[in-house]
Amino acid sequence: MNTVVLVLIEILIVIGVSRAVGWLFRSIGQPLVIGEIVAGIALGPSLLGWLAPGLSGLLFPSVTIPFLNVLSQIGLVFFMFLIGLELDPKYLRGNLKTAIVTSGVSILVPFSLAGILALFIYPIVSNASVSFTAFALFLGAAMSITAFPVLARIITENNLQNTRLGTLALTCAAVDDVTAWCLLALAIAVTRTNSMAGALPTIIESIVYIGGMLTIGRWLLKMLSIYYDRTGKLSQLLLAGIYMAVVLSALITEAIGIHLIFGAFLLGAAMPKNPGLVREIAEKTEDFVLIFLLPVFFAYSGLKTQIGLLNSPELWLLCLAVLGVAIVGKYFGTYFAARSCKLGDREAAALGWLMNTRGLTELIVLNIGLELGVISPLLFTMLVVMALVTTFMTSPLLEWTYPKKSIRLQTDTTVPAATSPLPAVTASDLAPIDYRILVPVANPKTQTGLLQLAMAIAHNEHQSAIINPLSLLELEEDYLFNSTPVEANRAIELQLERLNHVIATLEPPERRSLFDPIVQIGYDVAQKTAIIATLDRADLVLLGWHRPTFINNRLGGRVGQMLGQTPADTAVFIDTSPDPLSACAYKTLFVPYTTNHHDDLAVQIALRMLWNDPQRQLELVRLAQGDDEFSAELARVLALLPPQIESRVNISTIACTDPIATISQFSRQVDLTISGIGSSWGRRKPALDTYPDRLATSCVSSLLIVRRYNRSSSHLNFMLDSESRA
Amino acid sequence: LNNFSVKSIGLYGVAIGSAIGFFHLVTSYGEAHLQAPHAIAGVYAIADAANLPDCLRQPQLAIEIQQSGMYLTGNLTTDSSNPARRPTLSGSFRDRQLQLDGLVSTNICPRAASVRITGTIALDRHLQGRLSIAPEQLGTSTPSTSSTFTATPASTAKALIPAH
Repeated sequence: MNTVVLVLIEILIVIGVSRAVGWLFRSIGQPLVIGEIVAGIALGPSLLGWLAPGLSGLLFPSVTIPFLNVLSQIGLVFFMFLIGLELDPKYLRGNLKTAIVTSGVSILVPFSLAGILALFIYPIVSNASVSFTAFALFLGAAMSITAFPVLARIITENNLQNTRLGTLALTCAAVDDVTAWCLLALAIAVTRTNSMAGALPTIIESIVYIGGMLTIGRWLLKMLSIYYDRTGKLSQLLLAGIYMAVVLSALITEAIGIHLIFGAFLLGAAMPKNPGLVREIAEKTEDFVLIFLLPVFFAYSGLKTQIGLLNSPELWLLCLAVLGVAIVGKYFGTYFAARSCKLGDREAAALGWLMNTRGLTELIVLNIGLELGVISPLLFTMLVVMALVTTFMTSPLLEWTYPKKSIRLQTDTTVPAATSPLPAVTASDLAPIDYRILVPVANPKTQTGLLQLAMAIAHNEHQSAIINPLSLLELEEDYLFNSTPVEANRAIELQLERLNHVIATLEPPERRSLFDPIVQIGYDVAQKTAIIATLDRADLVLLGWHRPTFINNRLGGRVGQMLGQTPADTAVFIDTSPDPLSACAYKTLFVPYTTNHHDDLAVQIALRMLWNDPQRQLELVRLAQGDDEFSAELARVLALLPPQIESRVNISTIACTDPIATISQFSRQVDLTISGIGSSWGRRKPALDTYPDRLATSCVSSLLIVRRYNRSSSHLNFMLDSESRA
Repeated sequence: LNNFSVKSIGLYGVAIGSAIGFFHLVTSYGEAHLQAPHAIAGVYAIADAANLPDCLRQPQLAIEIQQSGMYLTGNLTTDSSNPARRPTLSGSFRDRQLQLDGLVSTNICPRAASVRITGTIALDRHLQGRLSIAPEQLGTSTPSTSSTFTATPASTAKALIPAH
C-alpha cells in the first residue's frame, strides 16, 4: 500500500483511539493527557503488538515510522512554542521567595537522589558508549521535571488558581519548568559531546542565544505586539511570520547542539504577553497541534515503550526503585522546603503532590534521551511508567491531602477581591447569615425571573439572608489555552460581569445587595453544585428548568441529576410569566396540599414569601383523597402564625380524584403555584417519574416544584425562634 | 527583589553549590569506577552455521539484539529490514558473554520452538556462538539439537531504536 495512505490510516486510528481513551480517563477524573499517553502505549508493542502482532505489523509497518517521527517532531516544536507562550509572568505573583526556595529544593533533592540512583543502575541498564556524567544528568533531569501544563490544568480544575496553594504551586512549577529545561539542555549538550568540557562551547552559545532572544528578539516581538494592537487582528501573513520565527528559532537551537524544542519554547516564552495577541496565536495554533500532531507524538512514543521488557520480578523491583526515588525526591523535597517557609502541613503536602506531576513534559525528555541513546529502552519504559504513575496519583492525593471542602475557605489574600472568583466567604462570616439560597445559573441572560424569585423568597426583615447565584464554567480540554489559569480567571471575571449585569436589573434595587455570585470551574455540574450546597450550608437550592435533549421530561437530564444529588431542599422554577421581573409582584400564591413532606416544604416557602410581602395572599388547598390532614409539623407552624399572616392565608379542602386537573384549574387564578414534587419522588429514577412533568405541563401559572431534603426545615426559623422567645 | 536579602541569596548559593559539588563527586566516582557493559545492540548476520533445522537454513538469517545495559532482548529474523513488533528472545550480557532464550517465530519456522543462543562478542563485535533448538517441536528430522555459528554485525543499535 502507498506509504502516504498508510500514514493517513495510522493517523486516523491514533486520533480515534487517543480521543476515546482520553475521554475514558476524563470520566474517572484524570487529566486527558494520561489517557492519550496510555492510548499511545496501547497501540505499541506493549498491548497491540503483544495481543495481535500481525495486526500491529500491518497497521504500523516500519516504513511508516520515520513519517510518524517527523510529524511528532513538528508537533513537539509547536507544542513547546505553546508551552512557552503560556508561561506568563503573572504566574510569578505568588510568594516568590517561598516559591524559589521550594522550587529549588524540589529540583535539587530529586536531582541529587537521581545521582545516587545512577551509581547503582548505570552498570546495569546503560552501556559503555554513554558517559556516566551524561547518564546521571539525564536521569537527574527526568526525575526533577514538573509538568507545568498538566499541573496548571489540575489547579484550574480544582479552582485552586486563586488560593495561596494554587498561586504558589504555579509559581514553583513555572520556575521548575524553566530550570528543568535548562538542565535538559545541559544534559543534551553533555551527551552529544560526552563530557562537561566538550559541552562548554554549546553552553556558551546557548547562553548567548537566550540572551539575544530575551533582548533583541523580545524587542522585535514587542514591535509585533504593538502592530497587533494597532490593527486589532492577526492576519495570515503575520501568523506565517510567527511560525517561520518558531521554526527558525528551533533550527538555531538544534544547530547550537541542544534541541529543536528549546528554540520553539524560547520564542513562546519571549513573546510579550499581550492577552489578545497571545490568545489569538494560541487559538489558531493549538487545535491542529493538540488534536492532530500531539497524539501522533504519543503514538510514536508508545511504539517505543515496551512494557514487556519488564519481564522479571527483579526488573519490576528496579522500576519500583526508580518510581520511589522520583516520588520521594520530589515530594519530600517540596514538602520540607515548603514547611521551612512556614507553610502549613496540609498545604505543604498538597504542594508536594502537585509538584510530583510529570505528565507529558517527562515524556518529551524521555524521548529525547532515547533518541540520543543516553537512556536504554528498558530505562525508557521504567521512566514512562514513573511519569504515568506520578501524574495519575496527583488528583486523588491532592483531594486526600487538600479536600475540596477546604478550598473555598482559603482564598489567597494577595489576590485582589475584584479578580477573585469566589465570594469573600470565610468561616467567620458564615455564622451571621441566617438564610442562604444557592441559585445555579447556566446562562445569566435567561435567568432574570429565577433570580427575582430567589430575592422574593430570601428577603426578610427578621433574618439576614444571602443569595449565591452559582455559575459553573466547564473547561473543554486539558491543554487548550482557554483552560490555563490566567484564561480561566478571565472567563470567570467575564461571567461575574454578566451575572452582576443581570443582578443590576432586578427590582427593587435596595435588595440587590442580597446577591453574592459564585463563579467556578466545574465539570460535573450536579456533583459540584451538591458540594457547594453543602459547603455553603444552603437552605434552599433554586433551579431553573430546561427540557433535556434526549428525554421528554422537564425534570430529567441535568435538573433531574441535581434534584437527585443535592443534599439540601431544592426547588425547580418553571416560569411562564411574560415579564421575568414580575416575580417581585407574585401577589397570589397557591399551594395544593396532600400529606407529604415535600408539600410541607411548599407551604413553608409560600408562608416565607407571604411574610416577605404584606400584600401577598396564599390559597392553601387540601386535596382530600381520603382523610388527609396537615402533618403535625405543618399544623404546628400554622398554629403559630401571627394574625397579620394568618389573615392572608385562605385554607380550604376539596375532594379530588385527579390532582393534576384540580391544580390546573386553580392555577388559572394565581400568579405562582408552589407544589411538592409528589410523594412518589425518590422511589424510581427521576427521569421516569412523570408526575412533576405532567404537573408542569398542566399548570397555567408559573410553577415552583419543591423537593424536601432536610428533616428540620429552616425556612421559617425566624418565626419559630421569635415565638419560642415569646 | 525585595524578597531577596543578602542572607537568602547566600543561602541559595550554598544550596546550589552543595548540589553541584555533590553531583561533581558522584560523577567523578562514576566515571572512574563504574563500567557499563559494551554496546552490542544491532543486527548480527549469521554465517557458518552447521546443523541448523531446514527452516533456519536461510542466507538472510540474523539475530536482532536490543540492549538495555546487561539486559538483552532480540529476535531470530530472516528480514532484518523489518524489525519485529515484539522481541521473542530475552537474556543477559555479562563479561562479553551473551545468552538469549526464547522462541523462534512462526514467521521463520512452521511451528514455534524454544531456542537458546549463547556466545561471546569480541572487541571487533564479532559474535561466536552456539544455537540450541528443540527440534522435535519443529517437526523436522534434523537429529542434532545445537549448532555453532559466527555472526557479523550488519547494523548498530541506532538503526533499531526508531523502529520500536
